[in-house]
Amino acid sequence: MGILQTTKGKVYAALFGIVMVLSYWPGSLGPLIGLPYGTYGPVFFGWMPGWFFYQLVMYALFWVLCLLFSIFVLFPGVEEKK
Amino acid sequence: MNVFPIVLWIVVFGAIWFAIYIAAGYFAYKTMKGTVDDYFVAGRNIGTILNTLAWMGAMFSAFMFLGLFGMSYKDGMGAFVQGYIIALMTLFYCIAGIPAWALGKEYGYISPIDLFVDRYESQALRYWLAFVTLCICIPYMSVQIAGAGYLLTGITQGAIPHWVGVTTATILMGLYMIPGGYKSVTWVDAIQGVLLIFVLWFMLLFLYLKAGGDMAQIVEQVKASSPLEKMLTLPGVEQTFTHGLYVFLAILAISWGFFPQLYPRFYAAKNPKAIILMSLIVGAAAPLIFWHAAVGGLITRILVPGLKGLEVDKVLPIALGKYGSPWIIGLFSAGCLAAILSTATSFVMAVAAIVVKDLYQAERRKKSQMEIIRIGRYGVFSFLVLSLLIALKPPSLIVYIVWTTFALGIQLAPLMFSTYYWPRANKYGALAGSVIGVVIVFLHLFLAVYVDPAYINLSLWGMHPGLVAFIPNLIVFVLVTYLTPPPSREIQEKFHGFLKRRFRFVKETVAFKRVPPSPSL
Repeated sequence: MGILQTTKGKVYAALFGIVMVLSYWPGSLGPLIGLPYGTYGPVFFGWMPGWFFYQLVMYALFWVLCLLFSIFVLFPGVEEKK
Repeated sequence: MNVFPIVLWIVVFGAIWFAIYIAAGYFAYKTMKGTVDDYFVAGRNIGTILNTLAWMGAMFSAFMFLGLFGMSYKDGMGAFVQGYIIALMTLFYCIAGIPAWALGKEYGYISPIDLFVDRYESQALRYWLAFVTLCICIPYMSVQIAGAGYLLTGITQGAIPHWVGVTTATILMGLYMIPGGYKSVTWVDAIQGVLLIFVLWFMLLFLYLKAGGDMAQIVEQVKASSPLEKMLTLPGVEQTFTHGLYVFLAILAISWGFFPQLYPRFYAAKNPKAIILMSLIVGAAAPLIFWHAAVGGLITRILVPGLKGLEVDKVLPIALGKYGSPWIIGLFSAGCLAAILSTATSFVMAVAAIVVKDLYQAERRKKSQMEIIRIGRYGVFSFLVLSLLIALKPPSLIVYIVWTTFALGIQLAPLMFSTYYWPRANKYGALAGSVIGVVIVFLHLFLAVYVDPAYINLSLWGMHPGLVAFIPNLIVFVLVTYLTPPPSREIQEKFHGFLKRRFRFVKETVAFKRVPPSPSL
């Protein structure tokens, strides 16, 4: 459809890839290459394990990417027919 | 234990909410214009908020109250990953939902099969997809209805028999679904979506306060007792949240955007913005909704320690029974029933649309709108009765079949994705790939039933059967497509040409600015 033929499309695709790899690190990709699963790490707010905080941040980042991708790249002309 | 007050509160809350559902269903029925679109896809006029709430109601089943809480109780905070994949799901909702909406509006589709048969020019695909879709939907909706019976029987310790629970739930669904169709379902699902989220948060807050109301202290208590400290780390106490589960859930999230029961939700949207906003609102709300999966297990471990086996899935009602009053258990039942009914109705409507539009009408053309609606009502009634009969005494095999539905759903993803994004895809590839995938999934079902139950979750190299079937499915789909003739120019123009023009999927118009629709459209 030409999405990946544009610079913006390529940038978004690359960002999605990077964020997905990073967000799946504690439970998936890290352990897959022999690194330990998510450990306590630093504790946030007095109780939240570091890996969990990390996943929340990654979730937020991914969601913002979805927002921008939807609005600006995938469907730029989504207005209803007049 | 005296269960009379609990039964009384269940009846009180049940009566209040059932009255609200029927009123909402009646309101939707009165605003119907008597068209097929109105009955099956709510007149294609559902706005963002209503669509979002209805989607939440349809998406979140009793699993949110029972299975997920149990998983969190047993294994710890990693259960949150179930909500985490919603981020991926939101993206694929846009990718699948917006083209489906545009094509549905342009060519009048009301079921997913309608669309795929037109795109792939194959009547064989119609019957094949109808078979696979019914295999996905019928067991799932029956289990949901059976769940209503088990829930009420379990909470009231048998005072409300199983048959009373399932029959009441089925009659109630029929009362608002049969007259008002998808419009009623959408309104009631939206109310149920709000109710279930409210009840979930209320229950969590109630138990949190009962456990002391200090999260840091709860975590310290959990950390102090081995092996519970593993609840705070991955892969959890019983090593559940491994990379295999993460990968499977990621694939499930991608394929969920292509599940057949969600298509009416896409078609029913007022405009594409409603789908984008729905996806983004759900994505933003998901961490809040799934918060209970992260902390609910820790809290209930402190409140009701030592549960084992099947009791683990009932941890929430057990904790509420120990610390709550009968009215709280009544409220919990109302929330749980809302989750069950809203999920079941989406499946029933999807199945009715497929049978009436794709099977019945395909054989007997030239029916008037009112006739199709009348047949649709018979269809909804018939599937409710079928679900009730299965739910009254579910066969032991049904648990396996329901587990298989996720693996089956993934097998339709390549075919569905290519409908919008691969003009070269043809009926031969679509049929060959999906047949290979579905056969491999059924082979796992056979192995699970007759050889080892583990095959339902685990296949070659520790992968999920859905993934093991998906890989050859995809390879065969691509290979056969390239070895056989492409679809006709007319079809490519009708679908891909239309989508290109409609959404400007072309290099020169993809820019950081809104572009007006083409005047030619």
